[in-house]
Amino acid sequence: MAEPTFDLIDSVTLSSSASSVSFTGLTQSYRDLVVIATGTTTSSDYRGIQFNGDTSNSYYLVNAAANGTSLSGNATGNTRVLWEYYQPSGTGTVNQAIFQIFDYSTTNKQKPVLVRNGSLASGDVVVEMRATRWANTNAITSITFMIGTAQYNAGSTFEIYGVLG
Amino acid sequence: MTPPIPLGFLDFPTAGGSAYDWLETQELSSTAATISFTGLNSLTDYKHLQVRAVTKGNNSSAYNLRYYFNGDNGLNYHWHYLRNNGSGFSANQTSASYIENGFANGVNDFGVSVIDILDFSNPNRYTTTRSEHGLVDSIGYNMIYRTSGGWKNTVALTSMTFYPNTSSFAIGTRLSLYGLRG
Amino acid sequence: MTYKLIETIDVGSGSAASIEFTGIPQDGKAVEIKFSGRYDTYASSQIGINLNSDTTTSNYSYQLLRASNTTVSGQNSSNIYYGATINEGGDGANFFSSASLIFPNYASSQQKTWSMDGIRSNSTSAQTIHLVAYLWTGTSPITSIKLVDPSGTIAQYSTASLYIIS
Repeated sequence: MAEPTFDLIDSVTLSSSASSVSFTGLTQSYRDLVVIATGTTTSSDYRGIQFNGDTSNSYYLVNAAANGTSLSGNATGNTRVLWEYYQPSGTGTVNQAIFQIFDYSTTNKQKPVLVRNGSLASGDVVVEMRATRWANTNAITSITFMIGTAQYNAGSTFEIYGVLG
Repeated sequence: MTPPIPLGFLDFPTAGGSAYDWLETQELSSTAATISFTGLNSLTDYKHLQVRAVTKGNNSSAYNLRYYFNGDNGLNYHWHYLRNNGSGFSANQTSASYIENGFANGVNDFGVSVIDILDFSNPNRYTTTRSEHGLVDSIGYNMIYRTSGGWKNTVALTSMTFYPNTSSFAIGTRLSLYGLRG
Repeated sequence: MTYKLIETIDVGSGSAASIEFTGIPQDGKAVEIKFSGRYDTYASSQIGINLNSDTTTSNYSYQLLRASNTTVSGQNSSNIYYGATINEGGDGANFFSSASLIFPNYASSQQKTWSMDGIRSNSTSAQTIHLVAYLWTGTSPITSIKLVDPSGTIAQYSTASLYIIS
């Protein structure tokens, strides 16, 4: 028997700029989360999501990027699940990212994440695909979109969907 | 594991209701050589299928997720990948007796995959799969992939069987099947 | 529930010049298109896109990551080429592509960005993988999405489904 899923858990559309956006008290009723985010920032800076307020260097990633005809790959640790690895230098950069977070409510697995993102600005564009592992077996109860010293502009959107499984 | 039985009048109609349905999950509490979804030919309410996989192999040489359809493990498949291990890109294509997508990892961490099979019951096309998958291992084995797969057969799908390239699936491996209306 | 089918377009006999979704409802947060297609005869693995009938190529820019057989490359341009991955006409009657296009915030008054993840399936060495990020500078809500290329027609049994995520 089938059960409908892919349910909106929470969303935010910024009415003014913000240095972070947090979703707390996440329901533990789903199997996976799909997070969709888009918008612009006040300046070029590293963005990403952190789980349960964990700001430690416990997010390990492998990234692949195309920027024009230039190709690059990286494998490293970081303090967040990166929204983008490569930051376009152009003005008016518009960004979007889709995060797939698997088994987020389990307590016996580290948390794998797949990301695909694009950043496009005048004269500088990038598309990336990335896998990340949050080296923590705790269930994910909060997700915070953060950014270094810049801010997310008004109009930026953040949505969290739950998928049963 | 199967989803709970819908409550009659609360069951969602096709038009205007949800188009993304959770159909089945298989999660291992003991090791297993294969995991299969069967009865795919009965899924007449759906246009597309999606599999979400969280997989791990039972030894350090088990690092690839493979699958085939309808019990056919003859040389009737082809697949093509684009990948990066953090040091550089590579791409290749292969004809084989399976499609190789995603990861089953040796002893440490789980690989993950999202596999789409569009228009899966159309008798006028070969079965085509598209997958995004990846792994970041705690012993330094990292990979991010995009992969296509094809089964050169137009018959209706009845089953999909998954297995690791060697050994067996580890405890905690989970495969979930979804149907998309269309 | 959040994920709703709005429309499926199946190309019938005689092929089609394009696949177009119009009158897209504006009550969602994102749109996803699942597309599987093949050209009748045209030898190309991509089909163009335009939004809200805007065919001004300078209003679009994309960044492409591509694998063509064993060659990996990147490309960016101001154009509408890589709307979705499609099988070439010469690939054989039963081979069809598979692509997912996701448009976040499609109903907003902001510039629009989306991603396309697509593959061209084949049993020969002619296989392709595309990952594309796109920008449209239009600030109107997206009410129509068209997959089209003036050089080719879309073969029978190609199909596209549009879903609203809300």
